[in-house]
Amino acid sequence: MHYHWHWGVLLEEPYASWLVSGLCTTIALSLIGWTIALILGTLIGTLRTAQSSLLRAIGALYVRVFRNVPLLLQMFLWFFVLPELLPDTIGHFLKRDMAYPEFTMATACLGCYTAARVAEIVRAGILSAGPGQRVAALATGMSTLQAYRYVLLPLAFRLTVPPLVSEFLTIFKNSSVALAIGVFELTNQANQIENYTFQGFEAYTAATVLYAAISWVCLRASRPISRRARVGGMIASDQTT
Amino acid sequence: MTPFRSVFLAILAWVGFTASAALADDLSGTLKKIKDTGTITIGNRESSVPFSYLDKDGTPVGYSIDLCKHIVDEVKATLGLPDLKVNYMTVSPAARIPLLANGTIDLECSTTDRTLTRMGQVAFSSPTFVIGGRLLVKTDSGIKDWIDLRNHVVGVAQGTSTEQLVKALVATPPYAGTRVLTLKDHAAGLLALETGRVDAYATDDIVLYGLRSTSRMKDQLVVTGQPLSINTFGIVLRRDDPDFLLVVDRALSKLYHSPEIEALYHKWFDPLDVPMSEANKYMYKIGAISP
Repeated sequence: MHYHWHWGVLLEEPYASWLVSGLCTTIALSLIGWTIALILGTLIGTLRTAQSSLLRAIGALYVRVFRNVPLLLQMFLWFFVLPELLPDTIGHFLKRDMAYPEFTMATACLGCYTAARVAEIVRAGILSAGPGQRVAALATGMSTLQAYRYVLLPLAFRLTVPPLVSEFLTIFKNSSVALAIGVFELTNQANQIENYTFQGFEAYTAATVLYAAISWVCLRASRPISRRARVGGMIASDQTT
Repeated sequence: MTPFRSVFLAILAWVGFTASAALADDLSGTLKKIKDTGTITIGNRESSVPFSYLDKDGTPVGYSIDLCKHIVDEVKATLGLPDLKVNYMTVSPAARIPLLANGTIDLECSTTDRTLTRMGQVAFSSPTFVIGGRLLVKTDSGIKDWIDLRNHVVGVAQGTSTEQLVKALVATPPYAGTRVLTLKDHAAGLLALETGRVDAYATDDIVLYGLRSTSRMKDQLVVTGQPLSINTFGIVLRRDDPDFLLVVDRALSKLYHSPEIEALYHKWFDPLDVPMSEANKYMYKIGAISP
């Protein structure tokens, strides 16, 4: 190898600032996307367990569409195709007047994509709570909404903390796909440093370490939550994380 | 044969032998590698029209590729290897440096900007092309030069030198109300201009001419504005290999001296309607270093 190592490039300006701003963008993109995913995913997951077959079909259609189309393609569709399909005034707003069009579209895309995956986890949680819980809740005089609000969803979330944590870690990694539409997140900034300095190994190593650090921090932070959320007497309480 | 004569001949033979051995030993770096393996590998691009791209049959062609063919001829002459085997390898921008560093490719022939920062990692040949940062606009936009961008949106591609220059330019008071949209690549930039996401797209003029020629609305697009910057392309090779660099620059210098360079220019750039700029004419004169 005739490679000239120069780790100092990571501390030089403007490259250090690029990395920091990339890290911040990755975190912001992921956290906002996760908020969308959790709210929308809970709604869709609930629909998938509804008594009404129409609501179940709507939930299933959402999950199928968003889970089966590659994330990269979805990014392109949101950013390039959606504004052209909408009426001219809205399309013009999305293209020209909206603040941070790439970031906003990437967040929406990431949120909707992850929502489909969260929906499946929530659905699995509701189902694993068992039909008995629903029947018992309804028998105490709760409405269907109350049964979900006070019994089924709280149980579902407590049972599915481990898969939700792993989905949360995944969204950070998936956020790198946003570079395809020009969002300057961590991977894109590493690309840019490579392009300017030709010190690619150093730049990508820095990005790798930062992604690993995010995952590590999230995992550590999730442990007390996992522990407190355990439900006695359920299979999930055996897990040791 | 007298003893004296045979001793003299033996000495002569020894001198000749050690001299040729010394010549072989003198080879180092890439030239030694080429001589040992009998092959030279050129890194080409897939779609950097008209510099380095694959034609219909998948063969690498282009202006930079033709320059590299002249370099290969010079290597053949220098090493006395008329049968030198030439391999091509299509490389992406992200892969070119590792592939150059680990010896997979010996030259990268495309559209790489020569910058001091990059020279910390690689070496560049003499300039092979002069480019200037200019604007691609719609003919009915009324934009003729940079100052007309006031209150308009201008697109730039991420990671290009034009990006930084344009961002610095629009931060100055005369450009109040100008917005910059950063796009992923040139294709996205053209799309943004065509769909009205931006009013002008700024990058190196040669790229703009290329984009215009591929556009579905090329009759409504025009390259305009004074060059915001002057940059040069170069052939990329491994750093710290002065002997190989000398062969590369000698090949370019010989080509720039000959009338062939003009024919080469017209062959690749006439189809895109790119007139030879004054800067390019002088670059050829400067690159034609005296023998």
